[in-house]
Amino acid sequence: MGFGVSTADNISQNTAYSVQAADKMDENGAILEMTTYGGIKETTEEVYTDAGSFTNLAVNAQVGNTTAAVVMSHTLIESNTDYARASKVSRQALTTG
Amino acid sequence: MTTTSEVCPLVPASYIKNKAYDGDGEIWSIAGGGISVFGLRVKAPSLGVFSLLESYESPFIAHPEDCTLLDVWRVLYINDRREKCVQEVMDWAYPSHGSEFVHEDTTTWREFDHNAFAFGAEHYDENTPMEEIAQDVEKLYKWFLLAFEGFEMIPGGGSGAAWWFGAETIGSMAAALSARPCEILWDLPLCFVGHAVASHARMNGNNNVKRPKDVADMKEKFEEAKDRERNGVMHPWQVENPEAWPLTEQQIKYKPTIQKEWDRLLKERKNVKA
Repeated sequence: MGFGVSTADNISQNTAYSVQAADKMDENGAILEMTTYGGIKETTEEVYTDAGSFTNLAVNAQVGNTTAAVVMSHTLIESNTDYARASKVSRQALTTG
Repeated sequence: MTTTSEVCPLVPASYIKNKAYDGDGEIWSIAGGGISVFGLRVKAPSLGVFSLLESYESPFIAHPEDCTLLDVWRVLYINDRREKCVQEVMDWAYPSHGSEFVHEDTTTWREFDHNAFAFGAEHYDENTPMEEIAQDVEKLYKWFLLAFEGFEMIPGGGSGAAWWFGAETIGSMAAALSARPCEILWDLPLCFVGHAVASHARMNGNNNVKRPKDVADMKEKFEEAKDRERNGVMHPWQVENPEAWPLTEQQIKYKPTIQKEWDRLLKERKNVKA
């Protein structure tokens, strides 16, 4: 019996938050003030489906906003007769404030 | 009603159980322990053992349904003697003369057959009941299969070569571990080599190296997901995180009103956040 917790390795999702920053500088290039914008939440998730059902979700003309994510990439990692394993990266805008 | 052409929706990995594995067995295998079967202490097989078994398509691996007790002795003999029996296995697999092997006719046996048989007879009590033999064979299979737990963590598995344990595999493993061929072939338990190769793949940037999922549980989850789609029910991952999991075409097709439910859920989530 191991020392570890039995559910410890059952994590399959990574979430990363990021923003852009606009810098206000003086004449010497020293940053006086920064303003952030374009905040996003990017989620990478491991997903499974049956072998014949894998279809690309990273397609054109998706519409995303603060309540709906768009799929940025959908990568097939492994495929065999039993299943298809893929990685799905979704991107969602963060609310301001 | 299930139809084979039905599309299975994506199921997040966190909803599928991991495949159970024998962590204690892996430690024993790597640390140099050995199981007790047929009155023998059997240490963990190395890559070279599987290479030799593959060289003559051992029924123990290739056709378990045709595996005889003598085949089991051959396996145990190879696992025990390792590099010391390479020549006799080769002479046996590629004989330059002599008649074809007939189990019942010992005059057709070669050195490898005699040695393997003697090795078995030395340890095995011929009055052993069949049930006990079957248990020992099963135990031996489990012990040998432990060798592949590490490799199973690497997506795509093997090298794709026609010989699973051939020169390509030996070369790539020796390179991955910076080990000498004799260490990879005979000294290191294959269970260790598999985990080391998996770790090497992870260090080289393969973030998808991890314990595999339980295929039976996965299939069950696929069927449950298809059922929910047919019945216009939202998946638990959609309820939990509707922003990331929009409705599928099938859900809307089977129950157009589900769109309102999803919109409401999304609105509720937005209000909670605000």
